[in-house]
Amino acid sequence: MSDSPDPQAGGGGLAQKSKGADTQSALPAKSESTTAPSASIDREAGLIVLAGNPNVGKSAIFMQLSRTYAEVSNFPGTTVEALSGRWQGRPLLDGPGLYGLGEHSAEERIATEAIRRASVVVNVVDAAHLDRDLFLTLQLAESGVPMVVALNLIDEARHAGAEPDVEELSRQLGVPVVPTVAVTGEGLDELAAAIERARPGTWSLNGDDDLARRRAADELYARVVPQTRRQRRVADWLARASVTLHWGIPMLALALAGIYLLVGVVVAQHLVNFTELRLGQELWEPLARSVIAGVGFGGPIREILAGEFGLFTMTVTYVVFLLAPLVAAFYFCLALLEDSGFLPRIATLVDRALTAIGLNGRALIPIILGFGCVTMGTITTRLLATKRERTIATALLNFAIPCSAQLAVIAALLAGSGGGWVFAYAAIILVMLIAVGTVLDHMLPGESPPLLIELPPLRWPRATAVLRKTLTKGYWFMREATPWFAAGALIVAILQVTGALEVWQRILSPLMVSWLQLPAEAARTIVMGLVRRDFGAAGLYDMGLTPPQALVALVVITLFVPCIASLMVMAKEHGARIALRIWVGTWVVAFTVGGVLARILSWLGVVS
Amino acid sequence: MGIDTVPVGSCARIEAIEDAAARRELTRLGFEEGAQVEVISRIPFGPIVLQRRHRQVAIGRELARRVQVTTR
Repeated sequence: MSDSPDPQAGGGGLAQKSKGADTQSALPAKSESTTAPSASIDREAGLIVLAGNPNVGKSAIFMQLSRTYAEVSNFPGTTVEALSGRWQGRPLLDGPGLYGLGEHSAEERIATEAIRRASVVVNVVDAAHLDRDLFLTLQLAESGVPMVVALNLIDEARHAGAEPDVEELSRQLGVPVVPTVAVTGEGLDELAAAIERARPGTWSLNGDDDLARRRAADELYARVVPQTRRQRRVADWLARASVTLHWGIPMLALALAGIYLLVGVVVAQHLVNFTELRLGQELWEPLARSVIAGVGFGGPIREILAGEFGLFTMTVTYVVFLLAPLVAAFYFCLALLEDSGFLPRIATLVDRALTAIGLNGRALIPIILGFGCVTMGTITTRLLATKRERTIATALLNFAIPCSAQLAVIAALLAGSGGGWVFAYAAIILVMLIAVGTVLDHMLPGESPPLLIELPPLRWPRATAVLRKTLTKGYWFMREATPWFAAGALIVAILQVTGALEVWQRILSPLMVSWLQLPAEAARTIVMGLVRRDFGAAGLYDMGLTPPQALVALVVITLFVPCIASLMVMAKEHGARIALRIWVGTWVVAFTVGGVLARILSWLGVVS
Repeated sequence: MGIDTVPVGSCARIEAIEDAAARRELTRLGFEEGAQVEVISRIPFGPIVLQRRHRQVAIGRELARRVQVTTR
């Protein structure tokens, strides 16, 4: 560890600044433009901030109070920025989860800043794991901000036979304490009423010493929670077994096989076959073509609207009938992994492998999110502690991780060729990941910090939460992707109408035909791939490629430039220089690897 | 001795965490100096998983070497 600040500084700032001060007047609600009817705003009205450890149900409480969607999952770090909503005309903020107040990471800074501005803090705690949560609760109670404690997940605590003594806890802290079950809405009315009675805690600690506060939290825990606890045999066994090699690896393999079966076989082959061919090409496209012709468009306009790359033909078919089902299937699997609490355990299992490429297990989270959307993965690299790790993870994401849309087309293209080709593709991409990571690990100065991650309890994912997450994320992705996709189609259609596509194909054909041993039309996919990666892969779909050609084309497209949205995010997060280097690097790597692969395949005697 | 040498299934008392950032984080999580913890898994060459009162944390092997413990 290189840049570790003094531990005693942890969480000091807020406690000292606001202690004993008139917090009401010192903390005006920063409610931007939209305030409630002015009559209802009095001295007590103002900003309400939800604060709590990661993964305790803050986002669920936020949704219940504000009726706005926030992401709920069972792994730390899903809320990277504060979400804002309104409750009874008052601004309501849901910050990232934090274990203590301070300035030690981006999430911590955002949450601490929000708490500093609050006129009321709703401290959401996990009733079943109160020992951990009380550390932050004590810090808040010392700070003098008016607060309420929401004793969430009280059902789990009851089930474990470890229900905290609500009255005693309230007496000790000097603030209202309300038991809740956020996902079902239990206790939410009581919580709403308690927000009106919020007051500064009466707890005080001599000095600001983390270790002393931790011991005080442990004492308080012993006082309010019965120390006998019912065993949850299966869950406890699973929680232990899932982080051992001989049980964890088979579980991981089983989970991956399940995902492949659902996304790669059931959806990519059977469902998409139906939606793309029957609904898209046989039902929708003839309809669109006849409507466009009927309206009276002709010539190039008709070609652009309803031709081979038409906005109302190909774009709609790909987006609605090909991508949407596959993207939804992917997000469904991701939601299951997140909500069950399995993800941080996988991070633990793969930590050793990731340290070889200069990362630690925590980097699994942006990488897995990258399989959903590389842009989203790139944004969440923020949760990595050092710039070094963020750079490595961003490079991996933008070089070698296919996003769900691309993966969808890849699965559809390769699944028909048989498992061997899927395996070969996965192996090549994995080798590239390792190669890029190893090179960067040696090139970048410094060292990456070791893994330190909390493992949340395993839970059965809730059907409604999983479905809502799948739909929301799928919708978010499609909304973000569709305009770029349409833009790409428009560019290609215009190139085709003007004859420029032919020229482009002729220029690139030596590279395509001799070097990559692909049909000349594959040059189109390169044009499309510049706009969106999955769009490039989608272009390959109708080309009638042989399995070896498909493999070469997919490897090139996967390693090729990230989509424009990812490029923008990279430039924003890491600066234009790094973004441009990665972008140019992908050209070189994609064509080099593709060509070498084509050589190897023909040398092996695989017909191409 | 470092907690990386404690066998799976054994308990140990954390004596010193020789890394300031990790000490802060572990203290907040309830795995502070003075805490009694159980080692529940050691991934070969990989992280060590610790448990205290039904809660678990995983720490990388390098860091585990710097978490000094005593066993009874």
